[in-house]
Amino acid sequence: MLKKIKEIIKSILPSIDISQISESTRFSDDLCFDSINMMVFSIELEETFCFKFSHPVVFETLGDVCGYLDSRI
Amino acid sequence: MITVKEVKSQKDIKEFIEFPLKLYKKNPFFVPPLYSDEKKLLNREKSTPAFDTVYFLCKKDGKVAGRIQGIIQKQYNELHNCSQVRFNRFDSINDKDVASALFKAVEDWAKKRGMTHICGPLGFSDLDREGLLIEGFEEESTFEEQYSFPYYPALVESFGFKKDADWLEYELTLPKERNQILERVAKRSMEMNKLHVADTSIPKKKYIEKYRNGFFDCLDECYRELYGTVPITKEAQDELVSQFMMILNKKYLVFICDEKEEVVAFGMCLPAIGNALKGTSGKLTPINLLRILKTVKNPKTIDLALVAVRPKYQKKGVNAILLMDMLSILESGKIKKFETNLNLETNTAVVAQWKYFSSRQHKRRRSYIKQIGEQNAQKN
Repeated sequence: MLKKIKEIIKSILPSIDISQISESTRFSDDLCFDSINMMVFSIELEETFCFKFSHPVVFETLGDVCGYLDSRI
Repeated sequence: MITVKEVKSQKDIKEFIEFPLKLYKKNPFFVPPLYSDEKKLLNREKSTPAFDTVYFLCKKDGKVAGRIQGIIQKQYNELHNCSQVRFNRFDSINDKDVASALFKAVEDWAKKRGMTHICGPLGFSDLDREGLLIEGFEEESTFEEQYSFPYYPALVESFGFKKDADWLEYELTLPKERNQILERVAKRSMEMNKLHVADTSIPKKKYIEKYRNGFFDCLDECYRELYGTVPITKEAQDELVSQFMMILNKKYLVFICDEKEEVVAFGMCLPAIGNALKGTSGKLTPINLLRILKTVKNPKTIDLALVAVRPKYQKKGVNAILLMDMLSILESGKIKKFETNLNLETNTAVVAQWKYFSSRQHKRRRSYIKQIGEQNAQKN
């Protein structure tokens, strides 16, 4: 799962070194994700993991995403 | 001989308003404010629960050589536990003695009222003209901002003023390629957040009345942490609505609402009437009025006045809806560019959004600060 999430991040930020990304990586502070990056990320998660967000979820860290996906899929 | 006097009589008010019109008479970049707005401002109460204000005129050898306004924004000082006097409407010939006499007048007035710092140019609120132009002296001004000569910064700095905050301004034009991601984000953000764009098919007055409370509420919530801002009082709201009603065009005023029709975000753009006012005294003569109305109906440039997204909806792609709206306006082909007006240099979230356009940072404005008295353990 983490590998797929990293690939999504790479597609949004092509210059990022994904080997440096871990579950503790923060979207705002470490990846400098803005509002639009965050929404693109949510859309890509929906398409990759075949589900729909009923409302927007603002994730703090990659670990939060893994936890959320574990509960959804 | 240099003399400074407080503006009191109608003759003083006339001289105060008309001084910049004379000073910048031959300048192609200066845009006057509306004469009637300035007159109304100078005739209103000088001391209210929200502020105290004073206006000074400086004469050199009997001729008006400079002017300045002092404002103690009580709400701001209370909210931020500080004792600041703001200066605004500062204009001077290139003469250090004249400028010095003007600042001294405001500083003395403020010190008597216990103020410890002077800062500016800042107005009653963030919606007034503010910031001293420090870059972009050969760029056209917008109606919402004050042009000033290149000698002003050195003049102000020579009295010990230091940078307090900078604002950047951008010119935005249509990008070569449309960003497909933005469109996708805007659409999904509307679905996920259960939002819609307010219906603009109702008449302008009704449209503004319907959303004005939501607009000001949203504005206060979003801007309260930004530099120099204060909550907008009911009186100021009425004044702003009446001031801008003539130039508002609902095509360029977008409200994003939730299911309960509450405003959660908005983009307020104004037809750029700077060109229509350039070279005039700002008086609404029939010819000037006609020029303004013609521009309002068919503008070539749009001034971005205010953009806000409620904190609850930030980081949820709502800004993409507003950006898409701006891009659609440019794509219509009738509007050639947007002028962003003032964006705080530190407000990186706003500045970063302009990457979706072809952008040019062409102006910079500064707010200065200087200590004028002892601080009693107060933060400034």
